[in-house]
Parts: sequence; C-alpha cells; structure tokens
Amino acid sequence: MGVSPAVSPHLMVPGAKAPPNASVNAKTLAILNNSRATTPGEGTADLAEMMNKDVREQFVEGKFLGSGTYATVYAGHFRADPTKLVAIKKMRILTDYKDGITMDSYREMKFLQELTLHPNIVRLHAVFTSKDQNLNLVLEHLPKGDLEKLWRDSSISYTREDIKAWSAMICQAVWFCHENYVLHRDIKSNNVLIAADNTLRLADFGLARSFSEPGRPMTCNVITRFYRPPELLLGATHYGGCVDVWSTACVMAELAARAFFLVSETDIQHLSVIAELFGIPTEADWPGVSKLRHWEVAFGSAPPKRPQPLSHWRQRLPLMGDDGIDLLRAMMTMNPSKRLTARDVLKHPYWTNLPRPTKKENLPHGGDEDAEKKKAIDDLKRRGGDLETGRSDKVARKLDFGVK
Amino acid sequence: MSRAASRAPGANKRLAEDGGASQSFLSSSLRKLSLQQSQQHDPQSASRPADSSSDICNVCKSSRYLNPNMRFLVNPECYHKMCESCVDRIFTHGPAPCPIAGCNKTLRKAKFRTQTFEDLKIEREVDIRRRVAKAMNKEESDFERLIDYNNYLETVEEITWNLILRIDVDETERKLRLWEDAQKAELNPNATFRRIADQPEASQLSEGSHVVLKKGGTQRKALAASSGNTPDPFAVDESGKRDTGFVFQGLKKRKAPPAEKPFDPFDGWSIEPQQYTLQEVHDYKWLTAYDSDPAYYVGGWDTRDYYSRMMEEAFGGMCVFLEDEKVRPLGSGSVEIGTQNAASVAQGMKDVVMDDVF
Amino acid sequence: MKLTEDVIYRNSSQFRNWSFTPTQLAELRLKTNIQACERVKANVARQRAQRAAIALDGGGASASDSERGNTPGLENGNGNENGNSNGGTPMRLDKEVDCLTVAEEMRLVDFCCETTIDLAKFIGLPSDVTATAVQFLRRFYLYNSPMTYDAPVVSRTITFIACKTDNANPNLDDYVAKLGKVTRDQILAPEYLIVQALRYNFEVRHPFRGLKGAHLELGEIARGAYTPVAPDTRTPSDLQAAITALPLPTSGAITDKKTISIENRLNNAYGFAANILKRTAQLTDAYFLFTPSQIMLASLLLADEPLTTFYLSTKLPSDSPTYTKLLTTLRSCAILFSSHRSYTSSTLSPEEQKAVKDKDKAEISALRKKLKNCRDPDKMDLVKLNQAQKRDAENASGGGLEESKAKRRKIAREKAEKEADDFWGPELGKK
Repeated sequence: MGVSPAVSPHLMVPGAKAPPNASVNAKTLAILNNSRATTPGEGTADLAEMMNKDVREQFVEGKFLGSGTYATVYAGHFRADPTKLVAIKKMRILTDYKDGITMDSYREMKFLQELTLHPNIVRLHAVFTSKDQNLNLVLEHLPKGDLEKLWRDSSISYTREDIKAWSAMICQAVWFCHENYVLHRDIKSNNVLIAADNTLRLADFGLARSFSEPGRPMTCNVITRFYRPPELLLGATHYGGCVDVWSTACVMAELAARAFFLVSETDIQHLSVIAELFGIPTEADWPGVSKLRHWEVAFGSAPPKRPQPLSHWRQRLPLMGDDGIDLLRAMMTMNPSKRLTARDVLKHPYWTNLPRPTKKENLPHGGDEDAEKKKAIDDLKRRGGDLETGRSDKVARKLDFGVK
Repeated sequence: MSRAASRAPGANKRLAEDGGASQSFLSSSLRKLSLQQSQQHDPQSASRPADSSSDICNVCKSSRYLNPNMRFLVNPECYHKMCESCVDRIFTHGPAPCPIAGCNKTLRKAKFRTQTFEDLKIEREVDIRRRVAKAMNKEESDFERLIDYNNYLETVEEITWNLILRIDVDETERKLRLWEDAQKAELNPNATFRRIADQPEASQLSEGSHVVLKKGGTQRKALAASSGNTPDPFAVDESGKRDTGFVFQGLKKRKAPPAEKPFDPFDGWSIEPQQYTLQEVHDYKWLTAYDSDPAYYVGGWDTRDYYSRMMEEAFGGMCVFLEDEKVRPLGSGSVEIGTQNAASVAQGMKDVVMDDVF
Repeated sequence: MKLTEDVIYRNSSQFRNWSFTPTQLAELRLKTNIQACERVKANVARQRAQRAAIALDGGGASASDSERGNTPGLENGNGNENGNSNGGTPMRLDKEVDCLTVAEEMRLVDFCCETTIDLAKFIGLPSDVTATAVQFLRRFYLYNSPMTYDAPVVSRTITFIACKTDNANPNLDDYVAKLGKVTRDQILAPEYLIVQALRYNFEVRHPFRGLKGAHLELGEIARGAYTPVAPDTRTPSDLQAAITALPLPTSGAITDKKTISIENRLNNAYGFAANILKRTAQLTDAYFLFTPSQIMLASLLLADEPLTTFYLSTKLPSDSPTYTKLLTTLRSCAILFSSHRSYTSSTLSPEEQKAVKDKDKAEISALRKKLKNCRDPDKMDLVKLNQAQKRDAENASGGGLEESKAKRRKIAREKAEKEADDFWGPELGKK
C-alpha cells in the first residue's frame, strides 16, 4: 500500500536531458531537493497514472476468450510468472451510454473490491486503464466454464449429491453478499463460474448494489428474466435479499432438471409462467400485492389459480428429494417477506440430511482447456533430462496387475 | 518377473540377516527354479508349453482342425483346458468334478473363461499375482521407513511365489485369508465393534491373537507390541503357535479416518458481532414507519436488514486502531489493487522512458 | 471464519488502502507535493524555453502547431488564466516558480471540499452521496496536487462519479443543467484520471448509519429494553436507571444546563453529532486516520460526553485497557473536529463569524492567486488533454503516419530546447 518513494518525476520524463550535474539517485534528489527543477520536459504521467501503468505492466494479455454486451474477456497471465493465469475483462465503451464510465463498471469494481474474503465470490486481482481509455478488470482465471455450460453438456453426468454441493456453494456466496449488504441482482447459472479446484465462484457484479438504506427506490428492471422474482416483475422498487434468493432457487432447480426452470418470452408472460406453478398470489398470502405497479396488467382480471401440488414438483425435480423441494418452494415463496433469507436457506435441513454433498475434489466437471497448456508450460520449464525427483526413484515400482 | 533384478539388493540383505537359510529360492535363479519346482510339485499340470495338443480338446478329443470355431476355456481352479461344448455339456447342470483324470477339483461353469496367455503357467501366475496384489495393497506411505516397505514388498513376493510354486499352499492361503480379514476389519472397524466389546480381555492374550487380529481396532496394539522383535514374518513361531496373518515391521498404524463432521452449510463462516446483539425490532417511528409502508413491505424490503446494518456500522472498526495496525511503512505492503510496489516501479522505470513516443 | 464487525471492516478497501497513521499521511502528502513542484517547474521551464525558441525563430510555426494539442496551457491556459496579457514575451522567463506548500495545498483542498458540500446541497444530493464525493476528493488529492489538477474542476467530476457509485440518479445532462456553466466534456474529461487516482476503490464507509444505530441502542437503554453484551451483567433496568441519572454535559449538545428529558437529550446528542459528521468530519482527515465507528463515537463524545462514556461502558469494561485506548483515540478524533474552523465557528457571534469568513475568503483568494502562477501548464485544459490522449491511443494502434508525425514533433522540440539552452544557458536559475 502507499506509494513508493521511487516514483519521482525523473522517471516519467521521457526525452528530457538531465542537467549536467544531476544526481544519479533521482529518488533522493526528488525528496531532498525540492526547489530545483531537475527535469525539464513534458512529464505526462503523474503519480496516479504511474500507479496505473505499473499495474498494467504486471499483466500480459493473451488470446480472446469471449465477449458479452458489456465486456470482452481475454486470457492473460502475470508478467512475472506465466503460470499464474488471469482473465482480463475489458469493459466496452457503449455507444448508447454517453455519460462516461458505465454504472456496471463502477458497480463491479466497487463490490468486488469489498467482497474479497469469501471463496465463492470471484476474485478481482487488479484494475487498470489501458491507453485507449478502457477499463480492464483483472479477474482470477476460471478455466472450467460456468454452471449453465455444465448442465447443458450431456457428456457430463452428475448426481443429487453433486447438485447439493454446488447449490451449497452458490447459497454461501449469496449469503455472504447479503451479510455485506450487497444485492447481486443477476444470479443465473451462467454467472456462476467453476474454478480449477471445482469451487464455484459467483461472478459479474455489474448490476449489484448495496441495499437496506430506506428512501432510495431501486430499479425493478434487473435480473435476467428467467430468474426474476414476481415482486420485480410486478414493479416493486423497495426490495431486499429476497430477490437473489429467488434467482438462486431457479439456478438450483435448473441444475436438477438440466433445463431452464421457468421459461418465457416476455416479462408479462413470465408472470403467468410463475403463476402456472405457484398460483396467482392473493391479498391473503401476500398483503399489498395488488398495490404493485404492474398488478392490474398482469393479474387484474385473471381468475384465481391454485399452485401446483407437491407431486408436480416431485415429477419435475426427482433429483431434489422431498427436502430439496421443500427448500426450493420456501425459496420461491411468492410473497418476498415470507421467502427464506439467504441465512435461513443455509439453515434448512436439506443440507445436513443425507445424502451428504459431494466433496469438492470429486465433483464432475467439464474439460479443463488450460490443463494441457499449463502442463506444456511446466514441461518447458523443466530442464531436459530433469525428471521428476522424489523418493519414488529409490523405491521399486509396483506393478499394476489391474487390481484397481 | 522383471522384479527379480530390482528386488535383488533387498533380497540379498534379507539373506544376510536370515543367514540365507530357507530363502535360497529368492536368488536370481528364481525363474529357473520355478520351472523345476512347478514340474516337481505339479505333475498333473496341464500347462506345458504350447504344443500340437493345444488344438485338441483334452476331454472330447475333437480338434480345431475340424471345427475352426472351437473355443477353449480354462477354469482357474485347475487350469485344465477344454472346449466350450465340453464345458456346456458337463457343467451346465451345476458344479461337477474336472473330467481330467487325476484332477479332483470341483468346477463351476461360471468360472470358466478364455485364457489370456498362451502359456497357462503364465495365466495362472498372473491370476495369483492379481489376487495377492489385491490383498497386500499397502503403499510406501503406510510404512515408517523405506526399508520396512521394501521388506514388506519382499514378503509379498514370497507369498506370491509360494502360491505359484505350491509351497506351503495351505498355510500361505490361510495366512492370506487372515490378513484379508484383518484388513477388512481395519477398514471398517464399526462392523466388528460389537465383538470387541464382548470380549475385551481377549486383546491381552497372545493365545487369542487369532481373534484379535480380526478386530481392526485392537490389531494396532498387537502390531505395536510385536513390531519390536518381528521374527521372519514367514517363519513358524518356535513355540509352535502360528502367527495369524502377517506382521510387518514399521507398518504405520492406520489412522482411523477422522469421524467426518456433519456437513456445514456455512462452510465455517459465521457473522459474530462482538459489541451488540440484534434484538427484536424496536418501537421507533423513524424505523417502524417502513414496516407499515406498503411501498416497502410488499417488495420484501426488510427493516431488520437496515437495523442490523446500522448496528454493524456503528461498531465496525471500533477497536481497530490505525496507529497500531497501519504502522508498516508506505510502499512495502503486499500488492493490492491499484497498489504499486517499489520493486516493480524500479523495474518499470526503463519501460516508462522507452514507452513514450514523444 | 469468524467475522466480527472489526474483521469485516479490516477487509474493506477503506481500511486496506485509505487508512493511515498521521506520519504516513504527512509523508504521502509531502511526496505528492514534491513531485508536483518538480513537474510544474520542469514544465514551466520547458514551455518558456519553447516560447523563447519560437520567439527566436520568428514564429516557429511547425513546432508550435504540433505542440498546441499537447500543451494546451501554452496558448490558452497559461496566457489567459495567468492573467498575464503578455504571456508570450520572455519577460517572466527567469522568474522562479513559487510553488504551493503542503499546507497551502491542503487549505485549497479543504476549501474545495466545503464548496463541494454546498454545491451538492444546491443540486439536492443526499448527504451520504455528498460525503462520498468529498472523501473521493480528499483521496484524489493524496496522490495529486491542486497545482496539477485544479480542485474545482476535479470536484465537479468527482461529485458526478459519486452519484454513479452511490446510485443517486446519475444523468449527465441533468447534472450539467443543474450545475450550469459547464459542458459534458468538461465533466467527463478527467474521469479516467480520477478513477485511477482513486485506485478503483469506490466504497466509502460512512459513520452516518452507525450513528443511527447508536442512537437506537441508546433509546433502548433509556426505555429499559436493552440487555448489554457479555461480560456486562447489568440488567436492562440497571442501565435505564444509570442513563437517566447521568450528569449533563458541560459542553456540546446541551448548553442551557436545565433538566431535560432523556428522550430529548438523546435526540439533541444525535442531531449535534449528525451535524459534525455531515460537515466537520468531512473537512478533516478523520476518514484517513480513524474508523467510521470511531468517528461516529467521537462526534457523539463532543455532543454529550457523559452519555457517550456511559454508552461505551456498556460495550467494554471501563477498567479494560481497550476502553482506555479507545477513549484516547476518540478524544484525539474529537480534538481534530473541535479544532476545525467549521466546528468553532458555530459558537461564535454572527459578527465574529462574518469576520472569520472574510478572513477565509481573503486567504483563499490569495492562495488561488499564488496557484495561478504555479499551475502545471500541461494539465491546464483537461478536455484537450483527454482528447489528445484518446487521439494518441488511436494513433498508437492506427499507423505509421502519426508515429512519424510524433517523431517530427519530438525532433522539433528537442531542437527548440537545444537552441533555448544555447541562448539561455542549460539550467534555469535557482533560488
């Protein structure tokens, strides 16, 4: 932390000629000799720019990995250690946003710099501005794709224990965000990434915001539609952690069903899809619901509808078990005040009931694209003829007679 | 068998220790010996090197020459080769004695299979090795010292060869079975727990060591007690009492796998305020107003979140004294976001100068 | 991992990157000042040399043409802003630049913080967004000098950034309209510069919500509904009795020394402390030197000392070393507040206040006058600077044509410098 004394204007004045008797030790000079203009020239970088440049130069950008609406992601690594991989997320300059750096970038930087403790939240190594005035977020390298890719990959088979293990990690991440009063507001399986050690990491905090402060209306136009809870679809502008809990339940159900759980074409249609499963909320079980902005449009004239029975859930999500279904239904209670909080979710008996969740190291996962590459680098680093050493050299190798 | 060479040093050492007495077959001439012995001890062996007879069924004498689709099967009980139709004919209705004269083994159809190796002796040896390797599955990390592990490997090899060469077969088989049982018991101590409780004093008696060894938990004591002066694990006790199974010097006690803690859904994380406890929501208009305002409660806005955040922020950092905690000099910290560190600046100097086109 | 409220705070970027000991803070400011001075001097010298060269060349068309984009101060900034009508003449060339001291820089930044608060109030920003903007500004000037970047210019952008990070309806057109006399470009130009200097940390932990929490708990105590945390064994009614029996403070929130209901007493203390937090706390280094909890408690200490020490005693045993240490820390924070102009001025009579204000005004305008002569000419016009940077970036990826242009520019400059040196001597005079 802090600033190095090595930063002196001397360093950043290119094309300048040193005065005849300039001290070699620019640092000392800079500090001691305040009154002297040692370095004529146009120093363009100031302290902050130097720090930025310095961070920038710690990383080497590699091949293109993918792009989304807001950013383009490149592979990269630390300059000092090519085996330490990172992902560099270059924030796009949006053509329809003319007000400078986007809110998304600010949010992502703001919250990832605070939520650094928890293992289930993606790690931000550094941020720098590239010369073309683009923000670059240096994130940890997560080679194993995301949860959506995983459930879509039919070559990967997984069990209820695996689902429980993954769900627990997502719920922990959400819980931690909420304990720090941060709403993620875009939880979906494609924002849950898989680290090299199979730990899940909640990523993309571009829509996150802090919550609980009264008097500040929040937008209801957040969260990808399939994962958006009814109160947002109905236009609530004061809400809490309950919105993320709904999305989390959608992700869990999605894992169990290996398909999107609630599918629709439009926001209004999504409300009816929800009502199809949960019934149309009434003033009795959700007081005040008919006062929400979009209530009339959505359900104003609809006949009452009952929720689907337990058997429907059992049939749709056989892998969740009855306790899992109970948890999901509690996480997807229509009335957000009655919905479980992230903390209550983790206190549900589902987690401690048998079967026990799979251990991290045994979780199935997709191919690790970079494993081979990494190995290649390791091989390159090893000198020729320098074989792995260890006690195995001295021990008679055991023959394998196919026991295992 | 390529092992012979690598085992040689260890074997020789053992020979020296044992005075080279009964272990001579462990020498490098082992393979030759094995051939001789197998002929001596195994007169009915069907496993002669492949010859013209290999195409003729020993039972029905039909020849592959006449029936190219003919398949020969062996049963690992006796390795007598016979054709598929003989197997079907003789064993379909249940176990029956081997039809080869002099072989009294009872065979079951299910055990018949095609041989992998042309030489049935090899076939048999591989089967034996597979079986022994399954029972004797210790690894280097299970032993205190490398020498102990090597001694263990040697013993394993001795067992294997005993079985292959049919030396002390019954005794070796018996020991092997005991060992297997002991291993099983050790892996799953709960299964035998009740029996241990029934006769706890048994573990004190060397007389009852047979029983003891079967009982995982107590076996450790037996091992520890005898590890000091382990006799040749292969030899018979002078007292005439046979050691049951095997005893290996330096075999680490198997760590009882720590009782798995119940799964913690929070994975060890907890929020534990020191300076306040959250209480039931209070009766303050400026706070409870939101509880009764539909604009707030309908969407799930929760006063308790606001309350707990107020409390956390009231005391977050109260006992963090920057004077104490921030004493490290500027610029020497770990690389944090946006942080610069002196070394990399020094390194970066050159680049800065070169970088600028002006 | 056990997360206590202190552990959570230690993990914040505010603790990690923006908390200092007083010595560290002073060192950092000194470094920034030294660096800025050197740059100002260097750049002014270079510019003078160029101007001299141009004068000698009788116009030096090619050089000045290409330079214009990069050193906007040359033509526009320096000439006009310095109020020096004959900016191009070599009259001032040998005059040593008189740079600001650290104290003067801080005074200017403080003044700008005050105007930022007033401005934010004017455009109707909530007080926590305002406070975020002010703290951003203070953080910015830890690594930058007002000689390099003019505080009022930075402050406008920083307030807009605070609106973005704190979700306070950030629409640039609205913002520009409310401010008046400023263009969109002027707001956006220094944005990247500022986020760099803020080290991409956008969370500021304020003491406001904490004060509400403390107020709430004090109310609970007064109602006899508060059970203290272990090891305090007092019952709620013990505490209730104790809080009502507290002696009145001798200074702070209650000055009329009459008996007062406990409820009013708490409200007064809250109001007094909240005012300190909104203004005085923002104008001092409190956020750098103390934690939000300590800042909050210190303001409460100033408001009602007996009440605050009693409250602390329900949290920490009053004979424990931590308690003593905390109280010492709180007192030094309280002194920081009470010695600040904005705190003392409220106790003065209107005439005195006016006198202080006038004195401040005079002081500031003198400083700004001094500043005009030591501004970094390269950083005068941030809009043009920003455009130039963007252009350079495009050029860098663009092609060789621009590169050769740059080379030409460099050669021209070097030539100019060389000639200037030949004429004026290699080194500029030093005091």
